[in-house]
Amino acid sequence: MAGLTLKNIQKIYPNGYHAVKDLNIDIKDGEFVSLVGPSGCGKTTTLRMIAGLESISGGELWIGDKLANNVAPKDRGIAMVFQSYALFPHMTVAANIGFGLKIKKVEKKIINEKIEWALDLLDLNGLGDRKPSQLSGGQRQRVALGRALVLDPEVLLLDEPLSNLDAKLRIKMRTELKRIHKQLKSTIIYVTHDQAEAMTLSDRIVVMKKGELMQIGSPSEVYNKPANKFVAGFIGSPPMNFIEGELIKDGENYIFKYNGNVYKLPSYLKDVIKEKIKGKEVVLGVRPEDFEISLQPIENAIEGMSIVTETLGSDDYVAVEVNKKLLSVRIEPDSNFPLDRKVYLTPKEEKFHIFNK
Amino acid sequence: MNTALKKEDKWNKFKEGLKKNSFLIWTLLPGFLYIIAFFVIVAFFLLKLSLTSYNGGMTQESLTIANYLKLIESEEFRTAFVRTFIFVLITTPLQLVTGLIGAILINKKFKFRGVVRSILLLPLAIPTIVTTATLLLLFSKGGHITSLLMGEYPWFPKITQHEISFLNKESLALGISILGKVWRDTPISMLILLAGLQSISEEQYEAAKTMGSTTIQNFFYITLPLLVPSISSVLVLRSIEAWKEFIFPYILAPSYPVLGVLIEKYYVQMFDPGTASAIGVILIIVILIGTTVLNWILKKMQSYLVKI
Repeated sequence: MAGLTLKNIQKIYPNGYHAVKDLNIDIKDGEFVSLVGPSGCGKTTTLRMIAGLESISGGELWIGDKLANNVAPKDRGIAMVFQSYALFPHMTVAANIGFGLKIKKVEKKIINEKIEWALDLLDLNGLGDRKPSQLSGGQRQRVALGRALVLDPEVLLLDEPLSNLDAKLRIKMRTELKRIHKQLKSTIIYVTHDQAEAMTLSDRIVVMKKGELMQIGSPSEVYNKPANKFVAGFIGSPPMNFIEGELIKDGENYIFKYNGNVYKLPSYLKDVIKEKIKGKEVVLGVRPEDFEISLQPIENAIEGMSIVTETLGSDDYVAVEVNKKLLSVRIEPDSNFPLDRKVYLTPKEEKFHIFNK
Repeated sequence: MNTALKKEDKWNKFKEGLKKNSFLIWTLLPGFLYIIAFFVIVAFFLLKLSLTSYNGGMTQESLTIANYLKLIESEEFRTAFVRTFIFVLITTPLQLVTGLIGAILINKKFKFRGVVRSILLLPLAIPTIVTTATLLLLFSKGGHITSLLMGEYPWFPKITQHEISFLNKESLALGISILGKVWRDTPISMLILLAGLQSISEEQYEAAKTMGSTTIQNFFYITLPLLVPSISSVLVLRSIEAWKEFIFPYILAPSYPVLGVLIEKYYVQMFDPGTASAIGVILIIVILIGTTVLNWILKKMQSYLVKI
C-alpha cells in the first residue's frame, strides 16, 4: 500500500488541447478517493496518467516515495479496472484473473491459489471455467476487479467501473466495493460522473471541471461547504437551488436584490462575502431540504408561487416559482401541499450559500 | 372410407402448413435452387464423368473405377500430387504471413495510410493474366532478369556469365509461380486479417500493459488467439485456392504440372474427360480432409495459447 501525490500535474495533447490543468492532489495510504465531474473534465485522463497509459505533460507524480513520471505502468504498483472491463474474451474467467500473474512469471501453484482467493472474495465460485461472454454484467465487472486485485496493487484505479450496470446492480456493487476496500485497505482512486456514487463510496471527493480542480474534501465538506457554484450545483440530488441577483451594502449587513424584490441577508454571511465575493452580481444557493416553507406571510422571506409537487416516496418536493424560475423545496411526505398559492421561503440557519456569478 | 378421410386430413394439414410458412419457403427457395443448380447437379455430373472411362474421346465404359486406378498407377499424377501439396504447404503460410504484416501495418495510424492501403490492394486490381505475362517477360529466356544478371544494364553489376533458364528448372519455375500467387492474393488475406485486428479493442492491450505484458506477449496472448477465426478463414480459403491453382503454374511452369494443370492436360489435350474429372473428385476429397485437419490444429493452437 502507498499514498499518492500529484504535484502541478498537466496534460496537453499534441493537438494543443489542455485536458488537465495544474492538478494538485494528496492521497493518503489506504484512502478511497473519487474523481468526479462532467464528461470531458479530465478525470479519466488523470487516472490514465496515474496508470501510465497517458504521458504526463508537466508536474510530478509520486507513488509512495517514488517519482513515477517515467516509470513503466507495470512498475508503478498500480492495477486498473476499465469502464468496458476490457476482459480477454478468449480466456476463461480463471485465465483472465491469472493473466497478470502469468505475465509476471509467478509460480503456477501460487497463481491458482490467488485465483481461488479472488473467486472467493468476489463471490464468483464455480465460474472459473466460464468465458466472459457467458457471464452477466455484474459478474464480468467482478472478474475485472479480481484481475486487478490478484496483483496486490498498492493503488487500485477504477475507471467508471459501475456505469455499465443497471441501477439496482450498481447500488449492490457499490456496497460490495466498500466491503472490499474495508477488507483489503488498499488505496483506491475511483473515477465517476455519478456524484451519488462518489458521495457514498469515498473518504474524499475531488471535483473537477474542464481540467481544473474545483474542490477536494470529504463528502460532507463538498456537500455542506461547496467552494463554488459549480460544485454546489454538481453535488447533491435534486440539485441546489440558485437565485441570481445583486448585492447591496446596508450599514454592517448586506441586502440581496433580485427582480425588484429584496431580501436581507443574515449577518453570519458577512465574513463569507468579505472573503469570497467580488463585485455586485451574485448567486444565492439553498438546497431543497434547507428551505422552510410557509403559507403565512413572513417578514423578510423569498416570495413565490407553489406550482407542482413531486413524490419520491421518502420525500416530497414542491416546485416554487420565483423570478420565473422553479425552485425545488423539500416538504413532509403525504402533506397534500396546496398548489397555486403564494408561499414564503426562508433558508435555514447556516444553510445559505453565496457565490460569485 | 376412414383411411381416405385421414389422407384428406393430412393433405389439408400439409396445405395449411404451406400457406402458413409461405413467406419462409419463398425466401429460402432461391438459396435452395442455387445449391441444386451449382452444387448438387455439378457434383453429380462430375462424379458420373469420373466413373466413365474414355478412349480417344469415345465413351468406353461407364460406372467403372478404371480412371482412378489409372491415376494411382500413373507416375505423372503422383508427382503432380506431391508438387501440388508442396505448392499448398508453401503458398498458404506465406500468404498468411504477408497478409498479417500488411494488416498490422495498415492497422497502425500514420500519414498517408489511405495511399499505402490502396497500393497494397493493387495486386487485386490487376488481371491475373497480366501478372503472369509480366512474370513471364521478366523470367523467360532472354527476359529482363536474365539480362540484368548478365550485366546488360550499365547500372547493375554483372553477376553471371551464363544465362539462367528460370522456367526450365522445376524449383525455380514453381518458385516463381508461388511468388506470383502470393503477390496476387496477399490483399485478400490482408483484408480478412485487418477486419479481425480491428475487432480487438484497444483497452485489452492497455489492460495488459498495466499488468506488464510486453508487445511480444501481447501478440501471442491477445492478438493471435483473437485472430484465430480470421487466421482460419485465411488458411482455409487460401489453401483451397492453392490446391486448385491453375493459371500461374500453367503459364510459368508448364513442364511441371500441378493437379490443376493436369486436369487441363487430360481434358483438353488428351480428350479424356473421365480422368480429368477423377482428378477433380480427388482434389475435392483432399481439400475436405485438409480443411478439417486445419480447423482441428487451429482449435488446439488457440486453447494452448490461452491456458493459464
